[in-house]
Amino acid sequence: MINEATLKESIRDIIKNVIKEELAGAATAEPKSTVKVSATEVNDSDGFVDDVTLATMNETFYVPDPHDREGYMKMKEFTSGRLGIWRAGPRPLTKAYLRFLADHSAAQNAVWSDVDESLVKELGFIPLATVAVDKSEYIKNPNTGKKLTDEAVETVKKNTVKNLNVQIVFADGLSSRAIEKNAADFLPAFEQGLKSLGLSFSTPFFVTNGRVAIGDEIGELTDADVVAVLCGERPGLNSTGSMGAYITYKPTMGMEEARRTVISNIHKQGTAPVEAGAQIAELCQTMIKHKMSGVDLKLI
Amino acid sequence: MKLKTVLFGKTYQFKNVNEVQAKASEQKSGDELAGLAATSTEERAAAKIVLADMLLSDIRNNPAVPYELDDVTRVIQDQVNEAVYREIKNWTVGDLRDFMMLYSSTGPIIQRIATGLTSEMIAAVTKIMSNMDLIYVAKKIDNVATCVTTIGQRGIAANRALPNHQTDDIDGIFAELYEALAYGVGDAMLGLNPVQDTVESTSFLLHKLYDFRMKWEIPTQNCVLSHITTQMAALRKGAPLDMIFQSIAGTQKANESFGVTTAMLDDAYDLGKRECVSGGKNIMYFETGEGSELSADAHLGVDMLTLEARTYGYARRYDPFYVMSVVGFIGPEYIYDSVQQLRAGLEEHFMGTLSLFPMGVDVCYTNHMPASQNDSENLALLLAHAGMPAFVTAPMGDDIMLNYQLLGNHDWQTLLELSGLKRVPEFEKWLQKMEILDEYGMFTAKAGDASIFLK
Repeated sequence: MINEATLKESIRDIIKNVIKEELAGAATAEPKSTVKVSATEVNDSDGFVDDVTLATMNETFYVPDPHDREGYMKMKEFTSGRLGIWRAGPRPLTKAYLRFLADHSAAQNAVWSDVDESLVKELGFIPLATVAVDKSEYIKNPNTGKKLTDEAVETVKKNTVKNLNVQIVFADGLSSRAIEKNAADFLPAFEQGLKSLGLSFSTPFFVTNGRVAIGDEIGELTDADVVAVLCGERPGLNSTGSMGAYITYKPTMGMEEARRTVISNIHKQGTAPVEAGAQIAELCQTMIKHKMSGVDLKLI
Repeated sequence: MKLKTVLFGKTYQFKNVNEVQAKASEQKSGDELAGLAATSTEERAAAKIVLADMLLSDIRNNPAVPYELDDVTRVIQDQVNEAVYREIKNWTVGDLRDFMMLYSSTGPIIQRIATGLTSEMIAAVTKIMSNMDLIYVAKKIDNVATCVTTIGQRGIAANRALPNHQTDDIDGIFAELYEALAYGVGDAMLGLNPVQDTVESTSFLLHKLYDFRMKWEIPTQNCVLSHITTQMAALRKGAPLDMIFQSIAGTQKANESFGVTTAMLDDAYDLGKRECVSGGKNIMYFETGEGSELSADAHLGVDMLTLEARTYGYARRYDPFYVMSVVGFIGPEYIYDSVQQLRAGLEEHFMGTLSLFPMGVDVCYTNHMPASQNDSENLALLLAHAGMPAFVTAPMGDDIMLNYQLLGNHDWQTLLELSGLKRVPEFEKWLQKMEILDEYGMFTAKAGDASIFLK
């Protein structure tokens, strides 16, 4: 069975070969015929096909002659579901169908692509890898996303700051898009918050093919008081770039999930990244004060 | 018992029935993750050959989890009809498959034989059946059940409206409900997965749904899918429940991880029979999914399909209104892609049907699965062909709360037209009264306009 990764790879190979052949051809080939075939003139002066992704679901409305238009639009304000999209016979209209395809493609791409390397560099993250050999293995076997490679373990050790309050970890999780969209806004607010509370932190790690639990191994290696993992959440059609924060006091590998404190839905339409940054900084302070996190902390 | 065979000169030796069952399963990522799957296609074929030759009594006497250790096993073993079992115990699994294919083996005849089967036998025969085999046998059988209305009759397929909302906003929920009904969706149930699992919230939602059903005189049934303990508390406080829901799994340990015991389900069933406002004889509703045991670290070395069959055997104790497997929801680490999803959907519908209640499959996928809406449409067409009695759809297939895609409301009318299946008759009449359907069951010009409910 061809999986996504091998398919992408073979397509890449084919394209590479075509380019190679074309380059080789360009260097040596002379025109074989003197008959000139003029290239078809491409007329692209009529502007763009409308961007189907601009309208929100609340604005999208195709029912031609509704019983109560005003009431319908009001009703749609209460849900981001795909309502009032009408039909052709029993089937969805072309525009509703294409919007679905566009949204699904973005949701899948959020999972199956990697975070842009230049962004990782730009934000000054220290990159780490897990033992997952590729996305496909990472998706099929979640455990591979919870274990660092030997090389990554060395990198963590080399970059460990002693007696650190907060170790920041970004991981792609199930949405690289979430990190691309939110990390740059979130991080300064978070760091500013930590600074103002007098908490120490160091350069964030970024884990490719990393699940939430990767923070547990990093926590054991660095011995920081608190590990904050910012991880891409499983995308939905309407939210491909949602980030979750999983914050734990002194995490250990194999610990109970109940020890994590979770703030989910961090993105522009949910909890704004800047707000989340300030909120999570305070949460770190509370955890350090009480030496606990997760359900235990709730009970205080 | 024979646990080995030779294939093309190579010997394949298996340790026990569980290993044969696991290695005879079609390829699924969850069995690979658990380290139980066949390591080659030849080994898989060899396991199927050994399994097909096994006696039904061998399987009865070697349940997947020991009787003493697991109450799911006890429920399954204790509900076997011993008279029927004695007739068939010397059949091989292969004999059972051939028997079900015969022209003379009508639905009622297979239903009778099914009372003598354990879930492990049902799983075993499933593993030596092709996709078309599964559809062919399932289509013979009608399992009928009644809550407020009746589902499962020949030629009838019902569909659940899924009005989920990220914050349980009542206006948002009703917007989604109106939309579903405007597309002729909702005869299986109006079934909401709430975000908040409190007695207050569940009671509030149940009252709202009940008042709505009464006001518009909709011939269907309601369900709010909070935890069973929450629903029981709501029911005791007088909330109008038509049925009681719970997610269940195929081992006692997995059920315990859901906070569920047999004693609790027994209590709920007794309470429901006395207090559910539907007055139906089938007042339990269960959801299941392959991989839930493994994800709860409670699979006990048993493959996913066998555990799923055991889940249905367990469900049968409570004569459910219907059972629904959420086939592509649990994640690609269990059901990887559309190939595995399609096979699992057909297997689950068949196994539920042999477990003698109406069986539905939520044809769906998550966004981290290599699958698309086309794959769901393919499986839906096959399941309609197999006579599946219960489906579920959402606006354009988008569940905005659980963040996965299922069939869309538009797909429902399309599927009925293509398959020749009909809605629950009273519900169809109601849609005609609402002028959403015409006398032939086709959409009128009003269908798809949810604002007709804004009165």
